[in-house]
Amino acid sequence: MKSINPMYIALLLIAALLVTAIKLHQAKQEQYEALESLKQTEATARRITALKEQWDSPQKRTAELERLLRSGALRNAGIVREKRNNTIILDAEAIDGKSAEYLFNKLLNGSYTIKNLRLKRLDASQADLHLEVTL
Amino acid sequence: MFFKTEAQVHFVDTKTPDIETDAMLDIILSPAFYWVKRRKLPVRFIREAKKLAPSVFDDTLPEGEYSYTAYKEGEEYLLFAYNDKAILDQLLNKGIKPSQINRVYFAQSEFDRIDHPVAISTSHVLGLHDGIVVKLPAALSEQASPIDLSWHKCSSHTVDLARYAHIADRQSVIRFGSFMAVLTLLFLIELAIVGDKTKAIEAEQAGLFAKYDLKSTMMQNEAILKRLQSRYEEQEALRADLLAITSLKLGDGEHLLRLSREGNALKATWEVATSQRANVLASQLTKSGLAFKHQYRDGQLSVEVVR
Repeated sequence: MKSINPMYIALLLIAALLVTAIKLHQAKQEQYEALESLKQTEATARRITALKEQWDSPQKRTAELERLLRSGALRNAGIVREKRNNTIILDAEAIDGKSAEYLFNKLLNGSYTIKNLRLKRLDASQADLHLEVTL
Repeated sequence: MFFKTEAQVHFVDTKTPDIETDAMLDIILSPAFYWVKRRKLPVRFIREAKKLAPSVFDDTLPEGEYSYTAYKEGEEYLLFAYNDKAILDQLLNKGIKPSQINRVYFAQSEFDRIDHPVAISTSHVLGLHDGIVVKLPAALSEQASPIDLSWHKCSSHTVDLARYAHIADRQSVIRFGSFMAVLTLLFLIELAIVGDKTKAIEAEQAGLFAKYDLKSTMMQNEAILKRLQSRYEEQEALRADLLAITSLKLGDGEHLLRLSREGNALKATWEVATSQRANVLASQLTKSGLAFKHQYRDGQLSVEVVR
């Protein structure tokens, strides 16, 4: 049997080690990218969930608005509500100032998507109100 | 077949003249280069016989470093002892470089079937004695025919000469090879671990999609996020503007007449007695950070928020 030049053996072993080292480096790079993607996905997921909870929960907002309009402060304010597609329209002719202020505060402090509004002062204590809330 | 090197067959004895060629050579070594013994041994395999060879040649060999080989013939083993370095030095002296050597054979395996002596030089012949190929003075044999290797078909009993001991001895090669193998193995193990971890991360990512009820592609989810973020920012800006408008410090007789938002246009109108008061109110709005256009006409200050 022929002897093999140990230099060839050494080169082969070094080549095998180099290839393995390169593969390992690539694998670590892939692991890093996978981890970054996971972090990004998680951050996006949490943000979407939080924003959906606040600004994209039609059923919740509808229920809250109904409770608000049925509350003691607004039950007798003469507010007419109408649902059109994904919008709730509130109309009140000659609503009293206190009720209007109460309604405004509740809507602005809540997570209601106010689309359009019109407030017209009639006199010192009354106003016409038109509000459109997107669900 | 594809990797067999075509080499010239040469018989080499201590008295062989120098060989002047650059061709690859298959060398048949004369009995002058080795020791041979025929033994019956209580072993089944050649590797076991090779392990016993040093003890068989104990007290036979002169001082020096020897390699051993063996092969089986019938019920007996032929054991060989040889000095690699001495052989290689002798071959080099005859003009044969180690890089030219393709295969090496001993005369024992190549001439064990001769039926008459073979002349290897003018002074010596090869003959058989009790099955052992021996180098004899030519005078002892009258019927020797000259050696002719042109039709010779070499046996399978090649000899492994340590041709690269000057680069690295066997121990060093083994040590280096073991070190590299261990290192490569460690890298491979780490590669497997990293691969597993990456798979686990990817599985966790897939789990997130299910947990948060996300759309199947990140592009879709990014679009949803953008839409929701945009709605959030728009509503926050609207609330900030409404706060600035409704927080205005009005004087006696001043009041908000109209407030409207149609699409993105936020407008407000106040009843204000004088243009100076209108300017005061306008600067209040400016201080509150509102960006707007305004005009004062007919006792009314009209403001349109600019976004």
